[in-house]
Amino acid sequence: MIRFVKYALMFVFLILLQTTLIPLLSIQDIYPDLLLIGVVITGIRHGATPAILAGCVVGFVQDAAVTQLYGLSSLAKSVAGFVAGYFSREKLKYNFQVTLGVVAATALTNTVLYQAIYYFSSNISVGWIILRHIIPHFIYTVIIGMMVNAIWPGGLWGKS
Amino acid sequence: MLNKDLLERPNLFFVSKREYFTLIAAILVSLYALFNNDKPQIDAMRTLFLGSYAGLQKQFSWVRRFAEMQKTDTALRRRVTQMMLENSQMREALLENHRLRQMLSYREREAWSFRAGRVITKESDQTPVCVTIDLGRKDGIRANMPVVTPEGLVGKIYKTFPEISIVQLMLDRNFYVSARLQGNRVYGIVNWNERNGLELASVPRTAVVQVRDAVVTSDSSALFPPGLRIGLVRDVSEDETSLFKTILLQPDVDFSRLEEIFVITSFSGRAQQ
Repeated sequence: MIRFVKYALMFVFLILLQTTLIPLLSIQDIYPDLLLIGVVITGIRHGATPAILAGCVVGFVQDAAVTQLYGLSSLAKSVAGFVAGYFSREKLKYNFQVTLGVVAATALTNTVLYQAIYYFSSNISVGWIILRHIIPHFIYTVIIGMMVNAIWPGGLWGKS
Repeated sequence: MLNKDLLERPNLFFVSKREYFTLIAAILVSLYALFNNDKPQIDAMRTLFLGSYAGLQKQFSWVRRFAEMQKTDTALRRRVTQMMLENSQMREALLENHRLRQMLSYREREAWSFRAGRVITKESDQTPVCVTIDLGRKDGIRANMPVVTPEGLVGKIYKTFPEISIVQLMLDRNFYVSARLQGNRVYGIVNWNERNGLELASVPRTAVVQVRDAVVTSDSSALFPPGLRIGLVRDVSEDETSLFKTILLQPDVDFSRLEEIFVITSFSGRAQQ
């Protein structure tokens, strides 16, 4: 129960940062996704099931203020949570390369799923979606994830 | 012993594969929400999440406003100077307009009714296509009411809740508004697309359009009052295979700095339904 409250508070804090400070860091409408970093932390510390549930609920909260495709963030973050949790099952050792790999795989899964479905019915070329949306979102989120890891060594893994 | 093992086995199977079952359940719930966006149950869920999300952000929105204050201050000073100049020109035009109306016995246009509101949340994971405002059904806000700033058209009310509403911005690719060029009254449809940004479509190749021409809402729209500023023409091009020009617009409203907005609750003496 204490763990649940701790993680709920972490996500509330991340939502606050995502909606207040992160818009100030936008580059050409590209934002890093802090909530996804929260899902990664949940996944690699506690496994896939809590990460999927966290991704699903946080996605619904994030989607609450959109005009269309309510549930899309939830879908993308649930699958991303599974990917993040999958690595913890492999009992990987904590180091920079592994952290980078986990964050990158999770961010890529989330971004590809989200953007692919979001632009599914539009007549925009796949190349444009990849160059304008998928790669920048992915890179920015990975950079922020690794910055969190550098500032808080071992924090993503729950180890110091 | 054997029976007990058989009874426990399915349990063990579910426990060992629980992440897969959880993933399938999460995907199914998300897909149900995705395909049933307008169902009352989904609306209720959104209201619940949006209420807590928006309430939380309302308390901390000063952080963003504080950080943007410097930029807003400079932009506002520039805008005030520009508007003072425009104001003096318009005062002259207004006096002239009054005189001409009296001469022609025209009925004076009735004033528009506004409700002022504040943006409380913005989409923060990609180009914002909607924002949440602190006006809702309790304030008389209804779906499809136009939303504006002093700079021009922002969008329309998409969904209302008791105390908040979601505004669909012009940057949404599903947003269309009938528009015309202010100068020569050429009509078209304004829509946003990812590749070109804001575009005035369906303008025939024969029409005369120049860069810096102003585009405003047309009088043929049932949702928007005529004459609301939308933007300026920033590029005009023609494709030999098309019957229409490609006209790209620069929006008058700075969507990245939306703070205060106005909802037009009635216009031309007509209350919005």
